[in-house]
Amino acid sequence: MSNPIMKVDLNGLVLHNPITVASGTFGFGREYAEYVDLNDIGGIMVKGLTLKPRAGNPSPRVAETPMGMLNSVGLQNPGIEYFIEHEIPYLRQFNTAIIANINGTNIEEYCEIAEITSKADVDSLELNISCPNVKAGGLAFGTDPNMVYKVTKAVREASGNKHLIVKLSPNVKDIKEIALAAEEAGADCLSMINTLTGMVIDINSRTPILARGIGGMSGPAVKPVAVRMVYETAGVVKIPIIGMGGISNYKDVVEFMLAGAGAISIGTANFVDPRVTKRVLNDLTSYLKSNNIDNINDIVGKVIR
Amino acid sequence: MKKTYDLKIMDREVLSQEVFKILLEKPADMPEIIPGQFFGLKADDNGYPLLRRPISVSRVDANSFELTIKLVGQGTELIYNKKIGETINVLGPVGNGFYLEEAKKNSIIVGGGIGISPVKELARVLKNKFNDDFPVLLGFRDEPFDLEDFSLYSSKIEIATESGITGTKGYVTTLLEEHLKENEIDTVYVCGPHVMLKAVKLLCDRYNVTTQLLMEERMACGIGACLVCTCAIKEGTEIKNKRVCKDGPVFYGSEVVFDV
Repeated sequence: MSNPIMKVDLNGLVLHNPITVASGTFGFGREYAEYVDLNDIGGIMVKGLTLKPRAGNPSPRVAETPMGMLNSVGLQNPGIEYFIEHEIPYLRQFNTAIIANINGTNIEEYCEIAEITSKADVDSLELNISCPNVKAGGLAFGTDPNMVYKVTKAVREASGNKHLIVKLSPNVKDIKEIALAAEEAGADCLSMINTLTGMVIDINSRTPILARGIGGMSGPAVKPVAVRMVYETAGVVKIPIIGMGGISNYKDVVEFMLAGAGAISIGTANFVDPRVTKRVLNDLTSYLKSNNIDNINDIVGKVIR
Repeated sequence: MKKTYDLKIMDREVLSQEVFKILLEKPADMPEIIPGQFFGLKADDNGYPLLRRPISVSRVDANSFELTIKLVGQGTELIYNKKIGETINVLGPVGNGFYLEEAKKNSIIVGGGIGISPVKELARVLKNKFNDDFPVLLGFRDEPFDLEDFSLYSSKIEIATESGITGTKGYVTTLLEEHLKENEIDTVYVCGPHVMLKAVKLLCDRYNVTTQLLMEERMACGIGACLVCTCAIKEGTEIKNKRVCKDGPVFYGSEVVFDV
């Protein structure tokens, strides 16, 4: 059997394979380029960007949890201008989609960064309304359907016709409402899930391990939550979903795609194995071949409901 | 392209109730290991615990290298329980290590607790480079460990213990100040707990002596992508959060901001 078709079209964003890397877990690709050929990755959601450079939160910023971790980085990044000048040209050397994760503290800021970024040489914007690690903005926008609609609509208008992904938070009452609000406001695609909020306490010092107390939980432990949310969302929206949350092998990818994800992101697993993306791509290809599936898109949403 | 390695555990030695070392085979295609560099160890192949354990190199031989590990939890216990002959997956060597291009003979090595391990390899390398022993000041809470091995790389070891069980009762800074008072010192290389790094830096500042500090922080990726292991660093008038794993783990004392 010839190689299966791996190309996916996420409502205008075409990836040569469905494996992307989650924002905040892959920097701007430079560190991982020493370990894995970035040409083998469908798309890179770059580290969350803000208008001005951000120093991020105090240390400790990480705490390990059973089959997962908490992070409290707080959107440390060099700012949008630096990204456009230094990181886009670097990433453009590779055959991988550049997906700019953009953040703001109010709607005006979201629109300003969206406008600047949409004019830059990126393939898509990922609107982050779900970061749990910043005081203002972030998660506050992602938990109320009316706010999700408002900010998405405004950013949609500020971004010309650039492909727009809205990244959803799992820290909500009803993910379907939130997803529908983003879709109605003009999102081309959804990515989900961002981290779940969590806490670890050191019983000896009786203080939280993270300097900021609460952080975002990721890793294999969150996977069932993420799969459920992708499944629920895929049942109500028409736009494609990029699924993520604890993916570390090809079986996880198949599970997310069966649940309804048109593509997936690998996040925390990159920290464990810097070459995980390539391994998952190889294993996924073998899986499709041995199951006589000649097009990856044929499994999307094919869970028996 | 860089990769991770599955390395055979060639030997294990227990140094104390909570410290042990393992000797790993060094593959031919592994890059040179600089003192102060570290490895990310996968505690178990079944995936739990999730993250790699960052462990400094305590000695490099022709075909092997040694890691000294403190038992602090489940991950290090799993590593301890591995049998000789089994393999362990490692990422590395990563990090920058000590800056030794301009190393001068009139320098001092300081280590504290488990932090004596990376400076043991430093003592070995400096001894080879200068064909002379460097003064080594080691601080322990109680019973010292690994001294037999350490003494192969310096005949000028001085000990301070908090309990007073052996050596000078107190801290390494007491020993260090004697050297700073009496001699013209170029650089003090140091690894140890946070409070010790800070105390050594402040002391050396008073004597206008350069310090290189090997910093420790909780890590995830180990290669500079995830930004969880930052350290506040002065850059001109600005304070930046630098990555301990990638920009460090060794920083000059003059640039580290201790009270953020």
